[in-house]
Amino acid sequence: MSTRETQRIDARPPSSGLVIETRGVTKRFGSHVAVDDVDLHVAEGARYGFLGPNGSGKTTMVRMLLGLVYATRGEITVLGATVPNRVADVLPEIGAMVEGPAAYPHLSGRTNLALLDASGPRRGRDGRRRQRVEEVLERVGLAAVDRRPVRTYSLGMRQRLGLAGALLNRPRLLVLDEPTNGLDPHGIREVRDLLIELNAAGTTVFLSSHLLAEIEALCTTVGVVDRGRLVLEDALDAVRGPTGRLVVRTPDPDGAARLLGRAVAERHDHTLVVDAAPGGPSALARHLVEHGVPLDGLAEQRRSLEDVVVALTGPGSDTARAREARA
Amino acid sequence: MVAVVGALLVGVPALLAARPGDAQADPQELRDRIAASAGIGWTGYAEARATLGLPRIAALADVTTLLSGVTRMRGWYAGPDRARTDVLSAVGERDRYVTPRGQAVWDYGAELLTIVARDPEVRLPRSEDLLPPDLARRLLAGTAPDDPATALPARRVAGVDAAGVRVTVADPETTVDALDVWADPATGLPVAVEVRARGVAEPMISTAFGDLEQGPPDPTALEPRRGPGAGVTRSPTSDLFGVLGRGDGSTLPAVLAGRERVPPERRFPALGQYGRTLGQLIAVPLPADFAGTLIGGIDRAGAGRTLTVDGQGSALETPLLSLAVVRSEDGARAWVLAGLVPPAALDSGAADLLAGGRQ
Amino acid sequence: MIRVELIKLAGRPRTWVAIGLLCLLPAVVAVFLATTRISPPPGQGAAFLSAVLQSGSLYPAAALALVLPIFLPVAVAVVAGDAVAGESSQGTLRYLLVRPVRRTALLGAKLVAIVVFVVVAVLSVAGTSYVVGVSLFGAGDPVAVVRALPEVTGGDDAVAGAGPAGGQQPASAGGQVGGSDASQSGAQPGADTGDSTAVADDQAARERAQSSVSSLSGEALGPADLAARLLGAMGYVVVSMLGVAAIALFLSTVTASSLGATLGALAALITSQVLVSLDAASSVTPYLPTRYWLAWVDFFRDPIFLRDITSGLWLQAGYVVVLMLAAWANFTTKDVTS
Repeated sequence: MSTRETQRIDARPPSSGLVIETRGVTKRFGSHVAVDDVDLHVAEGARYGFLGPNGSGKTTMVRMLLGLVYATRGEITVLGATVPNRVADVLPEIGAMVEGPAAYPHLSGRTNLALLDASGPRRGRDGRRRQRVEEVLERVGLAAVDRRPVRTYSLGMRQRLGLAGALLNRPRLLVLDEPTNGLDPHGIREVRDLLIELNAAGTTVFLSSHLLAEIEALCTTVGVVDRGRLVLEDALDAVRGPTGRLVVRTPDPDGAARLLGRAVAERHDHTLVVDAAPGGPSALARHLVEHGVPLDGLAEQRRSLEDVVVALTGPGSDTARAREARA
Repeated sequence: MVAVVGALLVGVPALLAARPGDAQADPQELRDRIAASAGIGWTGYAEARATLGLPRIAALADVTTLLSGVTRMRGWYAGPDRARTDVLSAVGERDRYVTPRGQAVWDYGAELLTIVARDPEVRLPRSEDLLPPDLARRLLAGTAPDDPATALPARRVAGVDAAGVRVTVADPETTVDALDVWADPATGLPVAVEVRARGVAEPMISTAFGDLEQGPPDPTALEPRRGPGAGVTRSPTSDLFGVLGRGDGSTLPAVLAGRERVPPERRFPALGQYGRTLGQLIAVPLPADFAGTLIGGIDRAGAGRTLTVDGQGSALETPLLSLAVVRSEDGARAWVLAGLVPPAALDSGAADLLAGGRQ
Repeated sequence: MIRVELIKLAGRPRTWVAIGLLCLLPAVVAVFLATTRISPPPGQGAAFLSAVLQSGSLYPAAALALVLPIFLPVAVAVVAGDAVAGESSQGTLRYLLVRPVRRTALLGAKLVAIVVFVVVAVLSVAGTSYVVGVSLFGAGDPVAVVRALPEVTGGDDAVAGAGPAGGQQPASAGGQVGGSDASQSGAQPGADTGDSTAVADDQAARERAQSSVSSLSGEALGPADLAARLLGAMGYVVVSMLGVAAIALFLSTVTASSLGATLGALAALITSQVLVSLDAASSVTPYLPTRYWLAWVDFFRDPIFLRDITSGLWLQAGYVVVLMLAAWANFTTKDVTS
């Protein structure tokens, strides 16, 4: 109950430009509340990172957005359609990957995609279908796959195949749940580049992950979920704003500390964190140099996403819950 | 909603089937009409359920299974000497054709057509006897004219709004308590029969049409057919009793358990029929070794009662039908004795047979 | 969507293994019967088994009797039990649903695919057992049987397709071509004598065929009559399997385990089989899914006995309606969490 209020700073896009909007969405499985009163706002054209530890309700939320799981309470609007009633109208414009890829193991990747494509609403002729399938295979780097059944694929290949399936529709909105699971660093980079490219072409990307670094590297907006609640939703730049302190690196930390006195907030080896003085970094630099303290570096301190998340969520929710259970 | 649809699907047919009839008929008049209905032609399907619970006795298996289970029959009936009954089983059928020249029995399992020259009046019960019209007419013929007839609520049977009559049997010498017959009030054709035994709440035998069309049947259905490649055999008579009945009838007394012997049928001197009412007893002499087999079979089935007679005897008794096999002490003479009679009648009949033989 | 389901079904090796096994059982039985010539005693064993020694053209009926009680329902329960639960546990269900495939449409397509599976299975059993039966036991004349078929069926079913493989009379087969040409396109100059012998052959062949097969009532069955009755029986067997399919498909929407759904459906069937044979349960017997399973035999009575067949059709329709409604109600309101 401690973080009831979602921390919001500003920059909420006007509601007309939202591709995903939820109000008070709650999902209960029996007595367990998986998602609790979540308001999401995903702007058109954004790269939205939905961040939370494992078991925090991310996947349930993603399933609710796609109409797979029905919300116990609350309203969901995706691409202007209410979910789940009218979700079928907009699903053709959504590409999705939910909780890992899945395919018919005895069929080849190409056949899987063709079947998936054929089972959707009718679009275009069969000739174009083959072309579409080749196109997406190319995009995810699977153009060279042969007739091997999916059963023989590595996890990374399956992940790429799943991504290919999500791209089949040329979606306006991509909803991806942990899309880089099982990929090597090279693959992760490729996927990230692909998503940025698609986003540049106008696709809104909604990406859920438990990996901070991934979100930080890719997203423009971040929503943080903890134990079913949304604890933060903001533009990434705003989250990582300056703290008003300066970070000083010097070979003579003692001299600097003596000189700056009470302004030093923290000290680790050769690094001091200093409350900003009037005049900003340049004034401080001059002050130190003039008093004979050599400088290796001086920068504004910025919050890291990690700091923010840890501050908001406390210990990992799995351990927290385990502790609760024990108590 | 699913539950509602399910309930409707189960309930509506059940309700339709259980819908009471509203036919009415004077019970005595209906009884007379039923007795006179032998000329009414029909085509139909009937199911009979008998709960006599007889153990299976090897030599009499046809009879014991018939009286302890469900029999499914199709029938085409043009008249007493022109009819066909198919007894259906899951893997075949056994068809009996009655023609003016005699009978023919087609057995699919045995791939055999048996042409029967003569079908004696006294015989073992068989499936066709359980068709409602045959059962009703045969049993009602054994009731006394002054046995009271009362009306039963009407029933819908195979599309017929049938009026019901109960004939309560007064004769203490039979196990039959009452006959419940439902018949088409217009034609008198019986469509359902229930036979009740004394002291038993549920009917021992109940039979009813499932499908019925009145009127002359398709004549082509009445022609006996022999499957290609199947055998044909001729038999002078229709069942075990017929075979035994052609033997020597001299060991049969003139009176059995107070019942007088009906003059025997020509060519079947050894078929002893005592009385013409429901309480009649049938006695047939048996070859001694066959009697031993039957007694052994009854005793092995574990449901028999050993008769305390001046010889050897075992009885199979059910609330409705009783049957005994009796053998004289020297083993030379033996009989089978049966009837819809109480155990006392069986005992005294057995004693009379043994005594009669000794004289 | 139906096409996609059929492709998926046809793409699974399991489907073909199941059909192969179904065809294998009658073939094995036939080999034993043919080598030993010991037929089961009358009234025992599967229907028609003792009759096939005389004519192999009845063997499809015997084959149906062999696979109907266990093999066929097991195969149907496996396929139908896997229908939704299999997709669910594989994870492909969620991807189908976000394509989007409407849940109702998916359920309908699954049912159609299962029905097609049953039809193919029954046709394969009948077709292979016809070939096996005729080649092991002989027939009056398979050519005549095949020739008579178009009158009833249009000639493109498995029985007709399988027929020529069993036909081993080249002379008669040659005559058949001439005969049918003449009847379609009028006179063929110079072929008069050939035609008349073909017709005579045809007639004789028909008589020979006629003298080999009888209905349960002892009526001789001509090839066309036999084919029509076989088709009726096959159709009825297909319908009989719909109840099993609906039970398994419903359970398949309830559980995420295909095995659970399959076993559940089989348990329901075994319960039903036990109750059907129990006199004490006679009040519920008419509503049990297996109650009228054996009624297909009634196609081989004379006249054809339709009472149980009609009841069986209604009963299966009832099961399909109720269980598909239940499946639909359950599936469309269900959270897909796998």
